[in-house]
Amino acid sequence: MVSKNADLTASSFLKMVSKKTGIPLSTLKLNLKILREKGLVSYGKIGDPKPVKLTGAGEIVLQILSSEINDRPVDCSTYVLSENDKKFVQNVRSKILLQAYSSKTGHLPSSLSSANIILAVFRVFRPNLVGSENSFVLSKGHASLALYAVLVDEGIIEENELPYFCELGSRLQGHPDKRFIKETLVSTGSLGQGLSIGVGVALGKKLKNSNGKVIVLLGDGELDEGQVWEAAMSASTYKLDNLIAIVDRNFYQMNGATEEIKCLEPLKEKWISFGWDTVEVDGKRFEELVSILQEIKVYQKRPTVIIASTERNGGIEYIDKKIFHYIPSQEDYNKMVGNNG
Amino acid sequence: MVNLISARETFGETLIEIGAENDNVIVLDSDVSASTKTFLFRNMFPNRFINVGISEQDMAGIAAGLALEGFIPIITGFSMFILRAWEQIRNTIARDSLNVKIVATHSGLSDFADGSSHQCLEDIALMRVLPGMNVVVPSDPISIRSLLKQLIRLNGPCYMRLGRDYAPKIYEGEKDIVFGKANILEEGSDLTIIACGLMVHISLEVRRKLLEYGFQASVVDLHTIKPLDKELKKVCEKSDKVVTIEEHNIIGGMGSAVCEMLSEKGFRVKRLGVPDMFGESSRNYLQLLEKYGLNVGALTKNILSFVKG
Repeated sequence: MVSKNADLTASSFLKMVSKKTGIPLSTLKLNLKILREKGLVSYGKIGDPKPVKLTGAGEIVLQILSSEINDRPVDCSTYVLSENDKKFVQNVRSKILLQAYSSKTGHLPSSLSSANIILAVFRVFRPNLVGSENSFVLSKGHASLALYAVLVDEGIIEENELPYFCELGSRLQGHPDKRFIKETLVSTGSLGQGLSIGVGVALGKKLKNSNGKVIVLLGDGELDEGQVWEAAMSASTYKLDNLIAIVDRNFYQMNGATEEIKCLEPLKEKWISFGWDTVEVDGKRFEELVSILQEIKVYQKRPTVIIASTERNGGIEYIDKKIFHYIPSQEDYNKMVGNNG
Repeated sequence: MVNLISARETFGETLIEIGAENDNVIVLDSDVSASTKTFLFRNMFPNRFINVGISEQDMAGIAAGLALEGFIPIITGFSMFILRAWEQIRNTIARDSLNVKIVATHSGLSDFADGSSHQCLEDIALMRVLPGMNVVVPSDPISIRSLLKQLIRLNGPCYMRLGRDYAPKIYEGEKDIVFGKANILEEGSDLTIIACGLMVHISLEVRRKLLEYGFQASVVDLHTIKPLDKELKKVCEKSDKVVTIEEHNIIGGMGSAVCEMLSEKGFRVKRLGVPDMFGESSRNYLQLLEKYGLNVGALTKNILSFVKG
């Protein structure tokens, strides 16, 4: 009701609101006065008219109330990291390293950045697997090393296939390829396309009355692609309360920092303005990711994006976050496996 | 009774029949339903019609997602602007062999007044180069209906190329048209004319003209450009001279596909189409075709010098 942009004096503002709502002018006048007393709006006096404006506090209240999940602190206590989880997280990272080390190729930093996210998605939703109604699209297909590592845990890929990543004849293609592994759901690798596919899958589930969720993992760099925003608009248009996008926000793309190449910030506000619920989490913390996904799984009102802040080295300090390609040495690998044991 | 007036109207009417027969068919529109006539389907099946807005790339991705859930999505739009999603079609729909049907209207020069931005002379080349993509160019209203129904029954990605309106009748019954099989419409021993789309109708007129000069031509409707009829050599066996006619850039289209197959079999092939250039506006479709040599007179002249030479 209170617009921060309308340049209206109190009397014309109240007339407009009364016309729109049918509430008597006298009631509204009193209400507006109370709002001013509470410090939520400001306006002038008789003889000194000033436009009705939201105060800073008023804007904050409006923002909180106008979205379901925006700015809601993540309740991490719903999931406690177990010793087993720590091992899982560590294992996935060493499997990623093993593939990169053996093949001397692949996108190691981007995969490390996504590892916890993919692991958490599979933990909560078990997508793309037999008997699951949930679907997962790895839009940032270059994080294939991480997906393959997680698919080992799910029994889809044998651990002894990992050293053959990218080798001629291996199922482990540079980017996920459905022709080789059907549990990838859809082939990706060309950036900016996964969210549209996710919108289609989510629409399909609704048409079939399936309760499944669709999770799409996007890189922050790929948000440069216009198609992502076409899909974001489609998702809010169709009110897809079964679609979850996760942005792996590591602040780097191939040739440098995202904010220097094509500015993404204010990123959260972008998604909000596209009609999405947004939540920011620490993507380095597995338990935080699991908590928020569990929460969204049982309660979601509209398309929801999780902006997960991550590091492109997955917390392995000797790997430079700014480097796009990093081929681990024997020493790196030993260190990692050593850490593990 | 279906009112067979124009290519796009036939398409719109046929969609209604298909929608009534198959609950899994979903029509996707890129906000051109008034022009592509898909609004006819929307009026009948509003729950299975999705206007994604002016966003062809998003449309291709959404169609891929719907196909993953077991639906049969039909992407519709102007052929020129569907090409905007070529990479999405290549990387998702074709690569994963998804059951998405692409029906592109206003192809060739048929969007005559809109000019070169809207005229599409490159789509056959770009679609037939995709592994596993089925490419179909119907020649008249009956064949549009017949082939569209056949494509829905076929599991896999398909591209159907339609003109805007002008589509004179050629066939009597839908059963005369079989996906993947070239149709011999007329037989003659001096040369074989292979055509697709509207050029089939024009070729039949060219054949009559050639008779005045004493040449007998076979006329073949090559409505399925991919997969190409393996019996094409047999279809052309009456003469070693073959002429292809298409409303497409002379490079990479149906004529090129024919050459790829016949070049190893000892045929002489003359390709006729739009020269390697972009189109332009005209208030009259047939006048525009004439400008690029796709009228009966120019085609006859070209063919005569080929068969005599």
